[in-house]
Amino acid sequence: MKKIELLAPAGDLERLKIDFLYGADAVYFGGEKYGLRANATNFSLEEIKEASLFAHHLGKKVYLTLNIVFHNEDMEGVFQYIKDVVECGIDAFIISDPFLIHHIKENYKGVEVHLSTQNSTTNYESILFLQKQGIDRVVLARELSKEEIQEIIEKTKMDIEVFIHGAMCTCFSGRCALSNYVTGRDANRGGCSQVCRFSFQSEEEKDFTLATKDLNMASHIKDLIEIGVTSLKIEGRMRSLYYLAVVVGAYRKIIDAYYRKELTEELLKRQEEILSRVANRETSTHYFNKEADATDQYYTGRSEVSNQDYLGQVIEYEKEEKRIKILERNYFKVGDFVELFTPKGEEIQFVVEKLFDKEKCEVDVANHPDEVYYIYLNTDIEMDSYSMIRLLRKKEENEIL
Amino acid sequence: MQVLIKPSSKNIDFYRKLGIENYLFSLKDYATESNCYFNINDIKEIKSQYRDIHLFVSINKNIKNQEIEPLKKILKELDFIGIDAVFFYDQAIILLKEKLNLSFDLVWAQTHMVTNYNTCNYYYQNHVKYALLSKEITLEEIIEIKEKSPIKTIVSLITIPSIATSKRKLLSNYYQDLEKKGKKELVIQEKLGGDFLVEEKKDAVTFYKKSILNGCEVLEELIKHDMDYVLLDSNLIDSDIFFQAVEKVVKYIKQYDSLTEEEKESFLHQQRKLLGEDTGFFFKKTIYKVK
Repeated sequence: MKKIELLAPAGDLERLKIDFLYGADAVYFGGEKYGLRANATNFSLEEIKEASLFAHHLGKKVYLTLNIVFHNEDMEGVFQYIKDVVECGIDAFIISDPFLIHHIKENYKGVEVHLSTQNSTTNYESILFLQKQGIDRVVLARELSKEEIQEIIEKTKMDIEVFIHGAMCTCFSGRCALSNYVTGRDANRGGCSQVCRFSFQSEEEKDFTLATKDLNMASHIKDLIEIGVTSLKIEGRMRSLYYLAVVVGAYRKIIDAYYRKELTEELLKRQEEILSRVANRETSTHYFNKEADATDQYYTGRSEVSNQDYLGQVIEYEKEEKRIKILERNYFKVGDFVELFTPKGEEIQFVVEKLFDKEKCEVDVANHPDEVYYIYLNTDIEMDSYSMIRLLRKKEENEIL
Repeated sequence: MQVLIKPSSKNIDFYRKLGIENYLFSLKDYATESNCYFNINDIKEIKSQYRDIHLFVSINKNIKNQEIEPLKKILKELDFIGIDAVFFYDQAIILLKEKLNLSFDLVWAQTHMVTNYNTCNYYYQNHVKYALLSKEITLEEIIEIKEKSPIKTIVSLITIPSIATSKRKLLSNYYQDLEKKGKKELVIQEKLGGDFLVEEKKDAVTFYKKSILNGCEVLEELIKHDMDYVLLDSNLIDSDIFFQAVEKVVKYIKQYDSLTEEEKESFLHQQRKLLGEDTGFFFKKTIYKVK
């Protein structure tokens, strides 16, 4: 059985490195043109080249989103751009607009074409059509159940990619122009203003909202592997380094445990708990086991939670002094119970006993984000760069326990 | 240029009297964005009653696996009846037409996706004869598509634009949260964006703009550039207003070559009074970079 792919989003080169270090098999990102995140940090040609080299050196893959729905004016330069990015070494394009299929397949034999979820592909016959056109992989609509996905795979043998984690669209992807009509920004060309997170007045006593909870498929990774899905996709090219490290790391552990036949309830519960700590919204499995219903949505009165668990990123471990040098992200103090986790999946839990500022003077609190601090820790663990520290319990909670 | 009518009732006598030959019917259980659905028998009956009309059938929903087999049967029946073309959203229909060796034509009707000449050409090469152009593109873009693609173009001229489709039961869910008996239609307002209508049906929730798209302002340009069809969609429009608007459009097109500038201006003035002044995106480009 071919091992399932874990596909992660990258907003920039640093995020791409985090994705790979924490266990992604492939990464997707946008270039400076033609992607559906027009207002995000996107990759220049030089960065695409560096990303491809870095990935291939690790035996991993990079996919470029070329997934806008084109208008006439967007045609200028697109074929040259495709040539340029292919020369940078990408492994696949993720497209929405099918006029690109034949051009890519005829001119660049080694490059795959994946069809974006923007096409809202919901049935096997549609996939058989796309297969005939030369599409190598389809990212399915997020509105499908387990049985529907399974039937599609059985009847088409197509490589199928499904979303497993992150924000959800309320409407069918591609079949939504709310952003165009409400804010004048073109959703299908990368300008989506996320109108489905707005609140609307109505004749009723409460505002009408259509926002959805996020997707979290941790408990169904086993099912997705067993029904033959090719790739598991994490949403969020604009997410933080910490978020990516935690989410990619958690899914890597679940996938690896499955293949080692070590996927226990306990392991799953632990990873779900870890995932819940980085979530800023509640999560659901939406359509996988049932039709999405009222429990998968938000109504008025909800506020998004800003995550404060991420304390800092490890820069290095000074073995002789037994000190971890970190770049602080969020306030913490002596006495807090924390966890250090590494890209290799190791975790050390400890109480912060001694804390030093950048001058190596002992302090009680770390309260300057982006400044260097040192934490005393006696360990033999190999401390890779991009190891991170998160808060488990504050000192006060610790004392109660 | 021909007129294509999407009627809001099964009685098309009014339009026939105006000499309209082309009709778009929404197929029951397989179409969205309509308040008048036709089953196979309805279509058969109309076709036998009006032998000289051209029938287009809308199958514009996202199709599920379990609907494929029944859909095959329906497509065969539609072909047997002798309809002219099927409006499709789901690409499954292209393959089914080929596999079943059906003779009707296809209309690419992927709502917001029909935005450029290259993709029109792509579908044309896949034996799709018509394209219902997106309502979110400008007149200039429409003309360029017509110039650069052999596909037959259909432009929405009068319609209440559908702007989004969700599989979620958004109104049922909303009313469940309110602990009230649910409604199937709700008008919602956004401070900057205006009013919208949310409508819940069995398979989908559709968002509509709460005003009529009045494309009459561009009718002359569409005629001049040999656009093939204009679609006049009655869905959610008051039938009296719609009838009057259709009558005026038909007359304008028929008499276009002999109309004076004053008569053209009078037509526009009357249509504005009747339909309002919302010209949608005909003269307004959407943006996507906000930096």
